[in-house]
Amino acid sequence: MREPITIDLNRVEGDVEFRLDVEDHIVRDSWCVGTMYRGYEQILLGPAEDADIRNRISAVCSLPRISFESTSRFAPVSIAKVRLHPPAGAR
Amino acid sequence: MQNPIPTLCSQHNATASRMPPTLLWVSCGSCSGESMALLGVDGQATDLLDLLEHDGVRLLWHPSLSLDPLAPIVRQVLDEVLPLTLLCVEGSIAMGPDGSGLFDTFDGKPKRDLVYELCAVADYVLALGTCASYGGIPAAAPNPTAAVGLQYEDGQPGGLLGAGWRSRRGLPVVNVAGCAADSDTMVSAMRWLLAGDPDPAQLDHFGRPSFVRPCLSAADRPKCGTAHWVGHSCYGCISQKFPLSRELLKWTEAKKCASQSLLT
Repeated sequence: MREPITIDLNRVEGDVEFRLDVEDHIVRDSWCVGTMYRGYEQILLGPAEDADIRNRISAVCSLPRISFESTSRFAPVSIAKVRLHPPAGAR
Repeated sequence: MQNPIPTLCSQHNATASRMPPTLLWVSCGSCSGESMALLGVDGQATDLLDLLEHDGVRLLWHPSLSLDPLAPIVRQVLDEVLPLTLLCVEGSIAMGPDGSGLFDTFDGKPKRDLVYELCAVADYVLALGTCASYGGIPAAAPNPTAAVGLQYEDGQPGGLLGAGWRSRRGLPVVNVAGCAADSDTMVSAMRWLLAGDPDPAQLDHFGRPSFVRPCLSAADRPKCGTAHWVGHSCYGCISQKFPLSRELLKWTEAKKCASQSLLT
C-alpha cells in the first residue's frame, strides 16, 4: 500500500517540509519542499542591490555574510571570482 | 489524558479561576529577525524568560522553541479549545502568485489564510517587525510575492485584514515596527496588552505604540535610506546600524568567527 507522509519541520532555519512516498515500509520517493518564497532574487536585481537588503535575507545566518562583506570592502574579491579562478596548482 | 499544551511554559501562576494568558508565534515571510532578537542573540533572552516565568504567559508555539508540530495546536486554537491571548505574527504576508497566497504555505494551504483565521480568535494581534506591520523588504519593488502587512499595504491602511479590522478586545493590530524590532520593545508591547484594557488611542497613525522607537538614526544621517532604496515609504523603522554594529549579531562575535577561519 502506498502511503504519502508529510513531515513539517520547525526550523533551524527552514520553511521546509519533507514528503515521503512509502510503500511496504520502504521509501519509494521523497521530496524536500521549500514552503516559503519571498523573491529576494528579484528584489536584488532592482535598485535595492545593497548590503542593507542582503543582510536581511536571513537573520539566522547573517553572520557569514556580514563577515564576508565587511572584509570584501577592503579586499575586492568576489566569491564567484575565487571559484572561477583558483590559484595555480590549487587542485 | 496528556496535556495538549507544550510544556515549555510556566504554569505556576495559573489558577482555576484565571486562565493564564497564552502566546502563539507564527512566522510568515520573514528573515526570523524578531525570533532571533527575542531569543537573545543580542543578549536579551531574559526578556522572554521573564515573560514566561513572571508574567505567567503560556507559550503555545514558537517556531524555534517548540518541538511539537504546529498543526494540532492551531486546530485547538481555531476550535477555541485553547484560548489565544497574544498572536504574534512575524514576517510579511504573501498574497501572490495571482492572489492565491501560495508563495507561503502551511500544510499545503496558504499561510495567509491561517493567519487570517487565527487573528479572528485572538484577543490581541501583534505584528512584530516592519515586514509583518507594513510589508517590509519583501514588499520592495517589484514586490515579487505581493507582500503586505497585517493592516497596512504599500504605505496605506489595508493589508491582509483591512483598515477597519479590530481584534476580539477591540484593538487594531499593534505594529511593533523595527528591522529587527528589539526584544525590549516586543516584550514591552506584550506587557502593555497583558496589563489589561490597553487604550487604542496610544497607537499612532501607523498603529505603533508610543514606546516603539521610531528610528535608530545617527547625528550625521537622520535616515538610513534603506526604505528609499527598496522603493517604499519610510516608517522610521529600518536602522542603518543593523546589523553591523547593532545587535542581532554583535560585531565582536563576527570578528571572532572571522578569525576562526570562517573566511579563510
